[in-house]
Amino acid sequence: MTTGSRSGGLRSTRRGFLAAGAILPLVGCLDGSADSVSVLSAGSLARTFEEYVGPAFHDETGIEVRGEYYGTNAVMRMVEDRTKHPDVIVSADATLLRDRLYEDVTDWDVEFATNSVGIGYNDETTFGQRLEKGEPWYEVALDTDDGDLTIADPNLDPLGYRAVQAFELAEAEYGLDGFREAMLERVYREPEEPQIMAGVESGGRAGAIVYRNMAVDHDVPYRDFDDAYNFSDPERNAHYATAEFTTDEEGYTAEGRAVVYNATVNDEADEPAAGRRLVNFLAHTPDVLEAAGLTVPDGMPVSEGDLPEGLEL
Amino acid sequence: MTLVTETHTKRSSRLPARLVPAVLGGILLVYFALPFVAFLSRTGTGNVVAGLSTPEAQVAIRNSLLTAPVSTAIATVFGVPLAYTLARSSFPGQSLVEALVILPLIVPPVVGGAMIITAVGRFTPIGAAAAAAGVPLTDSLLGVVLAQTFVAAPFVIITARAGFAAIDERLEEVSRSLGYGPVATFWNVSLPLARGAIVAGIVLTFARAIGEFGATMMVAYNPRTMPTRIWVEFIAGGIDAIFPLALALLGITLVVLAAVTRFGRIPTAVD
Repeated sequence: MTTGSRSGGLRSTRRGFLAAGAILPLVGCLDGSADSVSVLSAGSLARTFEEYVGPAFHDETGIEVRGEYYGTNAVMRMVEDRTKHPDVIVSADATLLRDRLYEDVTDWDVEFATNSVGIGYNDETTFGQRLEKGEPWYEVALDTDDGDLTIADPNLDPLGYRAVQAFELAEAEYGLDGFREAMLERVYREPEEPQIMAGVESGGRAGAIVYRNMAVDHDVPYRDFDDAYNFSDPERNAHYATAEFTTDEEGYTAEGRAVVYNATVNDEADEPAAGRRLVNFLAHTPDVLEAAGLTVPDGMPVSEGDLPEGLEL
Repeated sequence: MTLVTETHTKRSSRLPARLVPAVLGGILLVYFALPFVAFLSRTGTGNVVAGLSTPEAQVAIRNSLLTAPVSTAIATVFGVPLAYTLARSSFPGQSLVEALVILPLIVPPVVGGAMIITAVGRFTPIGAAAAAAGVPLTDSLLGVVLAQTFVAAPFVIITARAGFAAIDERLEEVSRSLGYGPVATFWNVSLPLARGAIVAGIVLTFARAIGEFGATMMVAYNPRTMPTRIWVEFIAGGIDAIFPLALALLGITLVVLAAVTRFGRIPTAVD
């Protein structure tokens, strides 16, 4: 018996080796890195790249888009620290990309789309039903209980301080005294952007201040804010800038500014040509971006710096 | 008579003695089951087949099925001898080695991933040389294996070490006194006797490897495994979107667990 079991053990170990031997050679050849371009992007564009831009770009060029998604601040830091080495970098804050990456990583970028801010809501809640009846959001919002509405954490995420700035601009727009403070007292601050929509979807929250494409992505009903405070129009930047937000820890003061996405190619890209093709594609296929819930206003794309050869707007 | 009474008393006190651990364990089980049932009832199973038949999902499943067994094999081939050494020898600096073994369990996986990048990332000497040689250690299936092995290997080492430590050393001494060398003794005596523990360790390591996300995300976000694909689906599409792959991951792990425990535990004379 003992002998039998011993050889059984031997056999299974040998089999393990054989299996490992059969699998290991596959590890190398499944990479397929030659026909792909890597993108490090703001998380709010995850679905845009995964389901719209990626497949459309692949159909046109045969190049696979390999996306990685983090908050825009994290994207900048990873590129600066060389933790990640993407071919293409996409930011949800055009100014931030220029402040952080110009000189070291790139010296040009292309603005290709904007987004707008509004309320995504759960239509099974009283809050959602009142919105659907057409009541002004700022009146309905004041009737919510603590934590019914979510914003992103304004200290961590541009979407968060844009929500606060939207409250401030709405207060000025409609002459609602103390509206910003009243809202800040009752909203829940969610540190992780992806979790915001999950809360609304699951019914844990009645609504959330989000980018429009997030609501489109998650198939959640959405009401855009008024143009005066939805941050979608770069030409209104002077007006948006009348609302400021200073973060707690870093003491960074963010002026209100339009949500403008821009993209550039890393100076050290493995596939610079494919990277430029992708940026070119972003600049010239507004219909794909709009299908994903983004806005491509008149006057976009806009370039900054000297565009590399082969890239024309 | 006294004996009988004693036995009787023992038996009647045994029931609550068994009931207490069962109830305590049951509470934890309910806590495990509740989120799963809620998740299942919320999303339903209707879209599972559709969700799993997308090319992205298939690639993720394939990548996970390729990498997790390789990581588990590496962890076992190198980890079991290490476990034996730790259980049977004492040497200077041993506690340091033991601390090193549990280090990957202590640090959050994201930190583990950051450590791996620091050591073999693209801009390190090792990483650059490997990339130049055509075997990139990041953003490749090899990178996935590195991340999985780092995070999951301690499970088989720690479990196997406990298994070896539980073996009566005299059995090994008998083998040695019969003229067998240390390798033959390890192979023919220690390994079969510790097999139950080793198999348990392999199962844990596989389960941890195939579910690994934090370190994998840092080292190789692409090519996607099931957990990284699940994360992207969650960012892009929310809770409902992750259900098919999450269910598949659970199913695969359960099947492997069942298979390994079934075939790995052939009864032996010693058992």
